[in-house]
Amino acid sequence: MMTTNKRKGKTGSIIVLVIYFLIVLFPIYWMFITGIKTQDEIYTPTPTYFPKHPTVENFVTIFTTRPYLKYTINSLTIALGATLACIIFGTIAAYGFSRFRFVGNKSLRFLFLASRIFPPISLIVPFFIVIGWIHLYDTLLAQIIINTYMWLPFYVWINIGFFDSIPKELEQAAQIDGCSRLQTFFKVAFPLSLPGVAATSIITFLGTWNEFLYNLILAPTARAKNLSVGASDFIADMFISWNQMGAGAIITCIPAIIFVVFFQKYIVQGLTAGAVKG
Amino acid sequence: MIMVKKRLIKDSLFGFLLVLPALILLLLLVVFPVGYVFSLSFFNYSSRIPFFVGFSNYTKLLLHDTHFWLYFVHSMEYVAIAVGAGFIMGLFVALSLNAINKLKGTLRSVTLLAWAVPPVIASLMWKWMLNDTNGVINDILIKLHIIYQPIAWLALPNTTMIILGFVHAWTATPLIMVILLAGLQSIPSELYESAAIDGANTLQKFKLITYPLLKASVLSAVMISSIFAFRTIDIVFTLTKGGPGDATEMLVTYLYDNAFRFMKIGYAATLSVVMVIISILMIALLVNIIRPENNE
Repeated sequence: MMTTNKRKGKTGSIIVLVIYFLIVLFPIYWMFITGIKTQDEIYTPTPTYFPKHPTVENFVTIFTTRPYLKYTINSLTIALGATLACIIFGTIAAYGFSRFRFVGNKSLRFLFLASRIFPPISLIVPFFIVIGWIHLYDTLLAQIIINTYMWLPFYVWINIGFFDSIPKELEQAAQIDGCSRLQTFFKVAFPLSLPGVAATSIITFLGTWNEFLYNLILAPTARAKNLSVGASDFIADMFISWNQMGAGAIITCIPAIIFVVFFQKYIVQGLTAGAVKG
Repeated sequence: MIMVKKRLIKDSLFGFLLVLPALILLLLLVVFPVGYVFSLSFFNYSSRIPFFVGFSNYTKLLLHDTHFWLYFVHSMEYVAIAVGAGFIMGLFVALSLNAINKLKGTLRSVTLLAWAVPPVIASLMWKWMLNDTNGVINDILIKLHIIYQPIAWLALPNTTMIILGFVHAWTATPLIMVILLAGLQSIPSELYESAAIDGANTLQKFKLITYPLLKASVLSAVMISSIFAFRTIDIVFTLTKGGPGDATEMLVTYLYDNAFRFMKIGYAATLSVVMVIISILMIALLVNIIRPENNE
């Protein structure tokens, strides 16, 4: 029993979504088939919309002629390292801010929020100089530290909100039952905060995986270069091998696809919380 | 009484200790670099030994550097196109998703893909699609008889900025959409129903109910995406590197050039500080233009 208005609204919505999905999916589809096309097929006068001879040779090429395995391992290491650091330091900090009253709680919270105003590019010069001083240029550790800097304020700020939304009664009950403060955290508060932790961790992981500028400047060799910068290496070549780049792009997009397909609920939660409270 | 006081102090201390590691990281990795970049901006690094020059870097940048102002305009163009296109698309998609009740998860997954994909990869995808000799965009447009010859999209000074803005919008729309959708879903449906009973049509419903209550989300979405657009270098670096010529040079690329190609570290630091100030001014401006209703 839909009124005409509602039905019109629904058709309009479907049209909008179809158009938008074309805009979103077509480039991804195109990159995907480019990655499985042969060199010859790429350079046919008119592009083919479906690969004639799909092949995995591009993947083989990039892994054998370029340090793509190293790039993948680097990306994983950096992303896991930074995300873990944020989870460890950020969750307890958010809990502390949310549940405890101490001098400077409000102003220190604000410090975390305010630090997100500084564009990362504004801080690249000091980072570049200091990283050089402490001999961490071109290292994975430097990348992990830097990505932690980039995402920790976001992580803390959002999780303060998530912790705030957990009712205090449960913790109070635990304390009455004799739990110490630490036990209360690990047994009651932390398990309840997992949705928020999951949401922010996924966003942090993706953000770190996608990081480009700091990796470009501070990781010039394959020692610490990640997949995002590795993919852009292709365009520095004299003769751009688009099919190989397509293969590289596919690999770089894997976490994005996995997280979006399986964890979209958490991502949406985290992004929404980030917008509302930030 | 003393027991309670002791407990409160212990609680305070515990809370502070929880926060301390993150705080130390923040001090080391944010507060210190910020202070450092401020101090660097007062020095001149062109010669071997940096020497103190006071505010002259600032006066040089703001009063005598025509590049700065040109690239500032370019940055603003980029932000305007990216946020404008992203907002329009994001709004339409949010309204559409709000109206549909099935397959919500799948639909949202597809939308989020454009956000989750690394911006560098997205730029490379578009760069290939816009290729002048083998790109698929030219092929589609020719087949649709919209153009008759392939166009070298990224070599035309006038339209390249629009393309850059659009690619950024492609990556930013999902985030804008998510924020707007959350805002839309928080509007109680009773308001629409009673308005329908009062005889309001779709446009009136949008103007009198949706838009006012959505303002806070609109501000949030526009602000966040503007700040991101202003500071993004991935897309312009991959697609044009500031070219053709300096048609797409922006403040981000100018900073990069000053710091790492011209090795003018002090000047780059000055530009860094100025960019922070611009970011803050942008936020202030947007908050004033889009005033969310405070009384509901």
